[in-house]
Amino acid sequence: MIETLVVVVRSIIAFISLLIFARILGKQQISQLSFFDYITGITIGSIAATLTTDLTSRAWPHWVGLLTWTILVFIFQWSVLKGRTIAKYIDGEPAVVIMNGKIMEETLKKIKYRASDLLKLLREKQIFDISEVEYAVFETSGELSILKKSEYQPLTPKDIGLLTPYKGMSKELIYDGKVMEQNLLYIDKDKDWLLNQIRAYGFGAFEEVFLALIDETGNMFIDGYKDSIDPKEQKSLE
Amino acid sequence: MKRSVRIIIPIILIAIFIAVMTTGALLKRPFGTEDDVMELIAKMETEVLNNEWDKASQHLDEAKKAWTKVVHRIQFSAERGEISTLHKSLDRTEGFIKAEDVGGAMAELAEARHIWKELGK
Repeated sequence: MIETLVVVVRSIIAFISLLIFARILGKQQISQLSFFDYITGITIGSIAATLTTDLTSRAWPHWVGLLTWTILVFIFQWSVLKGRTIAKYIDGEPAVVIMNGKIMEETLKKIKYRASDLLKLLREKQIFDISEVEYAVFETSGELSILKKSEYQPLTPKDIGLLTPYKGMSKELIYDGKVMEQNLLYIDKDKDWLLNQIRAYGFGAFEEVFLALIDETGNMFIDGYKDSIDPKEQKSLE
Repeated sequence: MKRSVRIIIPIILIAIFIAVMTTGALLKRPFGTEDDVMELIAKMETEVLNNEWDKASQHLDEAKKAWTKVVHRIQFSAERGEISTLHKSLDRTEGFIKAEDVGGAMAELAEARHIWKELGK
């Protein structure tokens, strides 16, 4: 028995299986995960690790375990999506910990958080004075969502009646030296036009450009492979 | 990539993985005359009972070679413990054959049979 080869083959099986199962389970962000999602994720990962290196048992039972946990998580996800009651039971409910500027001590006790934990979370949100907060909601993912009192909200153009032009989303015209022809077609331009644009920025060919973007107003951002930054200055930044 | 291809590729991969992990019981079967471990064990049992120690010793060498061939095929679907125990059982049989101990040799061969039966299940 060549142990190294067996571990390599088992690693490939575990890695690709995890990849496929993760794709089936969806694209939840780490911040969106509930405590239960987090634990199930760790368990699935742990089973995959055992599948890889525990040669004292066959790979098959571990793989079945991996599959069963994935199916169970999938069923849970599906039932959470379909039923609000089940979702509340499984994920819990967001808890209001500050209401109208007042700390809800009972709620804090219920979710097993101390006042110091709350202050820490507020500081992480750049709030050092609790009197600035109107509402604070402890989300099921463990994140704290905050609504500041209106006098502490940042000023927006709308507050002072300022009209702002529509910005929209930038489109990639050149990515890694390659022209994104579909995006060019979308903005009704051609390669000649793009070549003229990059020439205006001092580039001779598409291959010299690392990234070229255009926004809805027609403004371009072009970045080449060769940057005119002093290497010494760059090193000092590193 | 087409949706059908995106679905078919993972299905094929999963099917290959399942085959690699579960075909131990199938792959332990002899593919020719030189890798039939069970037949060699049966021959050894008869020879040990008839005190034909030279023949038993010769068949034991063949059984060891056959087992090494089988191990290459089943290593991805069998336990390391099972593989190692059958190795040890054949090694111990060698000792009993040298000592011309019928009881010991038969006990070891019976254990080898049992391990073989459980192998890749």
